[in-house]
Amino acid sequence: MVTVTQLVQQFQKSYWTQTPLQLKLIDAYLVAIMLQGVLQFIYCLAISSFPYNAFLAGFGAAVASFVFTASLRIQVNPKNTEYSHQAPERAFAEFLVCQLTLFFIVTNYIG
Amino acid sequence: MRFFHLLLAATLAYTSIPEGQAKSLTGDRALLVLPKATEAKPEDYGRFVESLKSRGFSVTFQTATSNKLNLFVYGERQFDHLVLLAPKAKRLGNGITAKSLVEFIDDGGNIVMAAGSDFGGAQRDFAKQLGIDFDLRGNVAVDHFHYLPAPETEAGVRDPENHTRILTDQYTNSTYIVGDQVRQGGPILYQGVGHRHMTNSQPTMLWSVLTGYPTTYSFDTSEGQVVTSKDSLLSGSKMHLVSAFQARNNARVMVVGSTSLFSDAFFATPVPSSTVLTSPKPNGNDQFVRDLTEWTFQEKSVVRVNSVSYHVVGPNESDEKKESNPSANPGSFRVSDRIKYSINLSEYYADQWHPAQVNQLQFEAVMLDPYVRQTLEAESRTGTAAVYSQIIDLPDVYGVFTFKVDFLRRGLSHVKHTDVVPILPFKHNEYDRYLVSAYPYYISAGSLMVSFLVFCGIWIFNGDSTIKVKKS
Repeated sequence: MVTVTQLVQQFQKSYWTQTPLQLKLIDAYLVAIMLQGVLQFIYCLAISSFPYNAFLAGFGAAVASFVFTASLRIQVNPKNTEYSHQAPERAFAEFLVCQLTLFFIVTNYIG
Repeated sequence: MRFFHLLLAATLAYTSIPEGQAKSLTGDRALLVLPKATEAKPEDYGRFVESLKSRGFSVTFQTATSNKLNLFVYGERQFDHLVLLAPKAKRLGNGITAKSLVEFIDDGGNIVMAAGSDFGGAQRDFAKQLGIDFDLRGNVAVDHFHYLPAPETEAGVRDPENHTRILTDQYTNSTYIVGDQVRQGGPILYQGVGHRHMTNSQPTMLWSVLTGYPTTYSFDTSEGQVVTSKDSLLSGSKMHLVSAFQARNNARVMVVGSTSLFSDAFFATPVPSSTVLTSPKPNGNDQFVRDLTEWTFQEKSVVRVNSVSYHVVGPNESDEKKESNPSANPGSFRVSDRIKYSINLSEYYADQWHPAQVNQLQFEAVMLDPYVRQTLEAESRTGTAAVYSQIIDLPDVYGVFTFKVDFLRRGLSHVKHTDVVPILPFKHNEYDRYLVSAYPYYISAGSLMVSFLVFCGIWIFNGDSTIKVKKS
C-alpha cells in the first residue's frame, strides 16, 4: 500500500534526478511568475483596483508570461516527442519574441 | 355723427403724442377698435384711453367695420398693441380674420379683446385658437348673491333686476398679472359673458385671471327663459371672466368677457362695501383694467436674461482658457467637472428694470434626458439685475449636452436660455499617472521584466547541454 507521503517522496526523488536542469529552471521561473500574479490579485481584491489599466497590465503580464513559459517548457521537454523534429532554440526564439511583444504592450498600457 | 366720430378719432390720433419713452417694452403704437359710433364712442372709454396715453402710448381709433382698419400693410405690422372693444362686429376691418389676429400675435403684437353676449365671427374663432370657448350667444354672467342693484328710478321703483351687473374679487393666485393694490381694493364690477377653457388648451400658456363666485353662473336672462337640466351651466370657478394667454414668443393676449369693464360709467360706479348696501366705495375696475393692460402690453412681469456664465471651479480649473478670454464661457467641459453656473436676470415693472425675484429657478444639463437638475440660488443683486447661481457637478457621461434654464410661471414671461456644451472624455494622455496605489502593479511589471532577463541569461549562458545530450 503506497501512502501519500511515499507518493510525494517518490515524486520528489524522480523530479530531482530525472528532470533536466533546463526544465527545473523553467519551473522555478513559472513559480516566481505565479507568485507575482497571485500577489497582484490579492492586492487588487484587498486594497483597490483603482488604476484598473495598471492592474490589467500587471496581472495580464503575469498570466501571459506564465502561458508563454509553459509553452516553452512543453516544447523543450525531450519527453514530448511531437516536438522532437524542431530545435529547442527555435522554441526559445519564439518565446523571446512573444515576451518582448508582451512587455511592449504592458509598458504602454500600464500608464 | 359718423363724421364727428371720424373727426374726433383723427384729432385724437394726432394729438396723442407720447410723453417721452414708451413704457411698454415692445412699442407704443396702440390701436383701439370701437364699434359703430351709434353703439360706443371714444368718450365712453375716456379714462381708459387717458390711462393708455399717460403711459406713453400713441392711441389710434378705428371703427371695427372701417376699411382703413389694417393690421399689416405690405407685411409690416402697423401696431404693437391692439384693443378690440367691438364684440358685436361681424366683420373686422379690411378682411381681418382669426388667422390675421394669430399672425399679429406671431409677429409679437399684443391684444386685449373684449367679448360680449352676441360675440361672433373672427373674434370668437380667434378665442377658440387660444383655447377659450365662449358661452352660447345670449348667455350672460349672473349672480344673485354678489351683484350691484339696478339704479332706482325717480318714482322710487327699481328697474327689473336680472343681476347681471355682478361683483367679484375672485382673482387667481399669481400676482404677476393682478397686483396687490387691486386685491386689497374694491371688487370688480362686471357685466358680460363667461367662458371656459377648452380641454385641449395649454395650461402653460392660458391662465385664468378672474372668475366669478361659486354662485355665479351663465344664463340667458331674456324673457321666458328657464333653466333646464339639459343646459350645461357654466358656473363658479369653471366660468372664467378674464383669461390671459401668453404665446411662445411671449406675445400676450388678454380676453375679457365684457366691454363695460373698460367704460367710464363702470369706473365711476360706486359699489357697496358688502353685499348689504352700506357705505358705497369705489370699485376696483380702474386699477384692474390698468393691471390687465400693463401686463398685456409688456409693461410688467417681463423677465430678461442679461447674461449666462459658467466655468470650472476647484482643482481642475483650466487656466489657459481663462487667460485667453476671461469673459467667454468655455466651449466644452470634461466629464465630472465641477462648474459654477450663473444666470443674470432682470424683471421689468414700474417702468424700469429691477432685479428679478424668482423662486425655484432650475438649471438642467440635458442630453435627451436631464442628467442634472438643480435649483439655482440667489447670489447677488445690483440695482437692475439679480444673479442666480449654483455649483454643479457635471455627470460622468460624455456627449453633447444642453445647459438649459427653462422657467415658466403663470403671468411671467417665459424665461428660456439654452447653450449647447459638449462634455468630453479624457484624452488618453490626460489621465493621472504614477499614482501611489498603482505602484504594486508597476513594481510587479518591472520585476517580471527583470526576472525574464535573469531567466534568459541563465538559459543562454548556463548551457542547454542536458537536453542536447539527451537528444543525441
